[in-house]
Amino acid sequence: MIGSNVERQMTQAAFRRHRREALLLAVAALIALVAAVRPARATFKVALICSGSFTDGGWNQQGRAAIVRVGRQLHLHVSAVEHVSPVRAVNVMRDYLMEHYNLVIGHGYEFLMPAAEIAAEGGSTKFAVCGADQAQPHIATLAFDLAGPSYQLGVLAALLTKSGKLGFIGGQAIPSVVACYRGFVAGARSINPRITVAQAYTSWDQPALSRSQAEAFIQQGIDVIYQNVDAASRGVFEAVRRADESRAGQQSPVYVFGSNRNQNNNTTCGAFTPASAVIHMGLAFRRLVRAVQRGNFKPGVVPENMADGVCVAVLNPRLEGTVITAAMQRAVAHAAERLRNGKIRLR
Amino acid sequence: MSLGHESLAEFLCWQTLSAATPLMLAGIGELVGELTGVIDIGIEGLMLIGCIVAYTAAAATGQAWMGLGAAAAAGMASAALFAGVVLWGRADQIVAGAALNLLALGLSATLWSLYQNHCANLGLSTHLPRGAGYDLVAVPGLSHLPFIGPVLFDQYTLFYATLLLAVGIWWVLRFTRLGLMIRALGESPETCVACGIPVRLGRFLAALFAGGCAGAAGAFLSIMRTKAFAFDMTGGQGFMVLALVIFGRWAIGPLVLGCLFFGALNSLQQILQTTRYTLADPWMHALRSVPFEFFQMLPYVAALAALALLSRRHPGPRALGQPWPQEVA
Repeated sequence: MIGSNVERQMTQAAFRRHRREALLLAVAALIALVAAVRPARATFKVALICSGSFTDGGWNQQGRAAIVRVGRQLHLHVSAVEHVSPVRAVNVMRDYLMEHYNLVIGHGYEFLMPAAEIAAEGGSTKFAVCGADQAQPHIATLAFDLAGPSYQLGVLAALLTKSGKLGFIGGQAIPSVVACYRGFVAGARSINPRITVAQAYTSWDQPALSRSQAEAFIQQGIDVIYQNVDAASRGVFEAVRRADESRAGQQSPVYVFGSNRNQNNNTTCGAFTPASAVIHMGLAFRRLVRAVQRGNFKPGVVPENMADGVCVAVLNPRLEGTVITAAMQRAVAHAAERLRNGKIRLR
Repeated sequence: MSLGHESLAEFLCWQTLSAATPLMLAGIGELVGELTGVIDIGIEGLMLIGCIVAYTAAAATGQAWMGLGAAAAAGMASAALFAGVVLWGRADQIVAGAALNLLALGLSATLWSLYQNHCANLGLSTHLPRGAGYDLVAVPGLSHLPFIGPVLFDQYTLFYATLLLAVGIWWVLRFTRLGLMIRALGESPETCVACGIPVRLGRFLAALFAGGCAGAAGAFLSIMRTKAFAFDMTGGQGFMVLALVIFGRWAIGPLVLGCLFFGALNSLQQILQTTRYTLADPWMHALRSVPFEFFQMLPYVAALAALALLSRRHPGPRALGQPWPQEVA
C-alpha cells in the first residue's frame, strides 16, 4: 500500500517535470516558428504613378521599365499604376500613404500639386515628382534637364544640314520640352548664327499628325528634325524614311534626332538617326531610393542633368566615321565639356 | 513621290487628300448607318480597334492586306455587338456608342500591351516589318502629269478605294432600290414594315457596313500613313466624322467636300506653323509671335462655324437614334 503510494507520487512528480519540459519545448518551437516566418527586415516599398499608358513607347513606358529594373537590383517591392488622372492622383497617393509605402513617385509634371497636398498630411512616406522644375514643401522634384544634350544635338545638326534649316517637333509646349527646343537652337546658333530653326507642337500619341508636320518641314527644305513626341515619334521616322527613299542619293538626306530614350536603333530610319538626347531614368530612381533608404532624402528640386550622367546625348555608333565625321564628334564632345564646365549656361 | 512636290500648293493639296482619306472612309460608313436610323457615336472606338487590329495582324502575318482585312472584320464585329445591344436590346444608341468608345480604349491598350509582351518574350521588335505596311502607289502614266499627277495619282491604295466607294454609294443611294430602302429605314420604318422590309435586319447590316468602314479607316492610320500604333492614336477623328456627316446634311457629296475642307485646314495650319520660320516674308515673320495653339484650333473653329451655319434647317433622318419597334404608351 505504502509502496504503491510512493510509486504514484513519483509518477506524478515525473509527469509534472515532463509537462514543464514539454511546455518549455512548445514555447521554444513557437518562438522559432515566428522568427522563421518574420522576414529578416521590412521590405522597402516604392510606387510609381503614371498618367498615361505603360505601353506608350515613351515617357511612361520608360519610367515603368526603369523602376522595375531598379526594384530588381535593390530587391524592392514595386507597385506601378497607369492612367491616373491628376484628379484621381490624390486618392491613389493617399492609398499608398495608408499602406506605408516608403517612396511614391508621381511620373510627370501634372502630379506636382497632388503630391504636395498628400505629402503635407505627414506620415513616413516620401514623395517625389518627375519632370517638374518647381520646389514644393515635403517633396523632391526630379528635374530632367535635356537642354544640355539638346545643345549638343543642335551643334551636330548645324554641322549636318545642307540647307541651313532645322526643325523641332514637340508633343506639347511644357517647360521640359521647350527647354529642349531652346537648347537645340542655342547649340545650332553657336555654329551658325543665321541658321533657321522652325518649331511646331503636335501631340504625344498621334503619329499621323507628327508625320504630316514632319512632311511639311521637309517640303520647306528642313533637313534635320529634332523630335520630342514620345509615342508619335514613329510618324516622324516614317516621314524621314519616305523622304530619304525618294531622294535616293540625288539630294542630301534628311536626318532625325531621337529623344528621352535612345532611338538611334529604330528600325524605320536608324540609318538617318545620328543621335538621341537620352534620359537614364534608372540612375535617377536608384539614387532617389538610396537616399530614402539611408535617410538622406531632401525635399526640393533635384537637377538631373549632364553633370550626373542622367541626361546625355548619345551618338549613333553605326554612323560615326561616316555621317558623323571625326570633326563633328569633336565639336559635340567640346560642347559637352563646355556645358559641364559651366562655360555655356542655358536658360 | 509624296515629298518631291514642286510647289507648296501641290504639297498642300496632296496632304489634304491624305488627311481626308480616313475621314471620308469612316464618314461614308457612318452616313449609311445614320440614313437607316442608327447613330453610332462609337465610331472613334471602332477606328481605334481598326488601328490596333490592323497593326498586329499585319505585323504577325507580314501581309498588309491581312491587316486591312482583319481591321475591317474587327470593326464589323464590334459594330455587330453595338447593333445587337441597340437593335434587339433596345439600349439607348448614344449611351451604347459612348460605352463602345470606352471599351475600345481599354481593349486597344490591352491588345497593344499583350502584343508588346509577346514581342519582348520572343526578343522581337514591335515595329512593323517591311512589306507589312502599305506605301504610296503611283499610277503609271498619270503620276507624272503636272500638278494633278503627284496630287491625285500618287496616293495610298485606300484613297482610290474610298473614292470608288463614295461614287458607288452615291449611285446606290440615288438610283437603286437598295438606296431607297436605306433611306426609308431611317425616314419611315413603318412604311418599310408595310412593304415587308425587315427594319432591324436592315439597320443591322448598315451598322456592320459602318463598322467595316471605320475599321478600315483605322487601318489607314496605323499601317498606311504611319506604320505605327499609339494609345488613342485616332485623336478624336471619329468624333470629327460625326460632325462632318451633319455638316454634309446626310448626303455623300457634301460629306466628301466637308472632309476635304477639314483636311485642307489641318494641312494649312501645319504648313503655317512651318513657313512662319522658313519663309523670309514680313507677314510670316509676324506670325511667329502667334501661339501655336491658335493654328491647331483653326480647323476645329472653322468646322464648328460651318456646322452652325450649314446644318440649321436639316434635322436628319426622322427616325435617327430611335429604337424599333417604338414603345406604345
